Amino acid sequence: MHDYEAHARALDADLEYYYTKRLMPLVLQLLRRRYIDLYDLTDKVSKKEEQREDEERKKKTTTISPSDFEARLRSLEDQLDEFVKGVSRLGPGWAAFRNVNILTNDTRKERGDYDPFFHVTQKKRGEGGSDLRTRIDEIERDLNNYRRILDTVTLALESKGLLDPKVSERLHNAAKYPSLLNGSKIVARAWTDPAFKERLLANAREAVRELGIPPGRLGQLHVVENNDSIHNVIVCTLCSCYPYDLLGNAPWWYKQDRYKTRIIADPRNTLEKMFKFRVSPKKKILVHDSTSDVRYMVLPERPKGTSKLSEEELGKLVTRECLIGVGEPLSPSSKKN
Amino acid sequence: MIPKKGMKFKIGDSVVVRPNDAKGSERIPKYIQGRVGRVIQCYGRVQNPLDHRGVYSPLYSIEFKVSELFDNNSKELLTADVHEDSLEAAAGVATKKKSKKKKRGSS
Repeated sequence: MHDYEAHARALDADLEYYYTKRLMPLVLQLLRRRYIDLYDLTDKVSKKEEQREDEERKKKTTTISPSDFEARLRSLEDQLDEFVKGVSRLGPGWAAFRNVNILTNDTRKERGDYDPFFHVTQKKRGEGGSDLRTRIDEIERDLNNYRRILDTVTLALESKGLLDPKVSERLHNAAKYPSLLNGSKIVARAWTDPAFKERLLANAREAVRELGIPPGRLGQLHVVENNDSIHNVIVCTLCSCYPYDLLGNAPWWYKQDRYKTRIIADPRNTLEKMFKFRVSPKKKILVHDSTSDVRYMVLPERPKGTSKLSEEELGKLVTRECLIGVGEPLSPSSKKN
Repeated sequence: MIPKKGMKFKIGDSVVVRPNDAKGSERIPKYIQGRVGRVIQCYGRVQNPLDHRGVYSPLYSIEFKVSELFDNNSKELLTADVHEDSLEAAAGVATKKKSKKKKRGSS
């Protein structure tokens, strides 16, 4: 870890995203539809609090020094990971199981994607140039508080009989975390098998099944191909639509307004400034502003000098960035292990 | 993707995006509302039960020029996916509203 500031920024952005854009609208939805009530939340707090204090006490054996930024950031990253998993466990999966009507579309309404009146404000930590230590303090405090909210809601749903811990655990594990690995496999196969590529571009949902990859539950999947004349870039300006079910979570910058507003108005310069990625002047850039119905993935161009590589080796050249179009695949010489 | 039957527009058609209203879908970015674009993809009706109630009208990919949307000299292109309810044939609107935007001559 070399750039603490960048790690803190990424943590900050992700934490606010999952709290204000996933957890909070979901809780609002549950409250409005009266699946849970506010008092269900209050009487769960004390119980959970005791549990947590117990756990904390056990953990306290290995204390991290406040000035050890690296250890604190790493620990925060792990905790954030747990938080994100906890939040996604409350997503529509269990609800469908219990016939509870939770729709992603409603979640978007609750958080004000369509009407600024309902907009959930994100906290701005570290504004006014506070130092790294203060920022880490703030993130730690907020993450801890957000986790308490998450625990309380989870407990309330469980005690209402809406959420069966065993079922949600099972759904969670069965889904196996989708990851970049899926993208690597798809791209490597498309580079080596022209017939597959054709099927992929025509109907990606069906084509990826050939590789034993479930395309996921959401809408359609559309793969767009880069070539000599066109370079594709993906964005979702309304929310952050991304083929989550196929590729896992979107990178943190994908969810930021900074990326969303700049990439649509001035794609070429934004790629250069934000990602240090220069697209050849011979190519036109085509930005896709996606919605939930069609999820996009970029099929990058096969790097030069890779004709002797196997499909597996080719897969290792694929990065998350190149599947969104803000970068190129690694070249064989620069590839990471 | 194969164009589906029963769709009002076809690839290459010039269309104008209706501003958000009760009739149209909510999922239309502000910056393309009232703007003219060209159909480049017809998806048909997309089933997406987790995301919205019922079935929306057929979906299209519409291509715009970045320079027309943001009034700059970018040479790049942008596509957005819009449902049929929110689209009109471009010719009628352009004459009625005296739209400042130039109609694309491709259709």
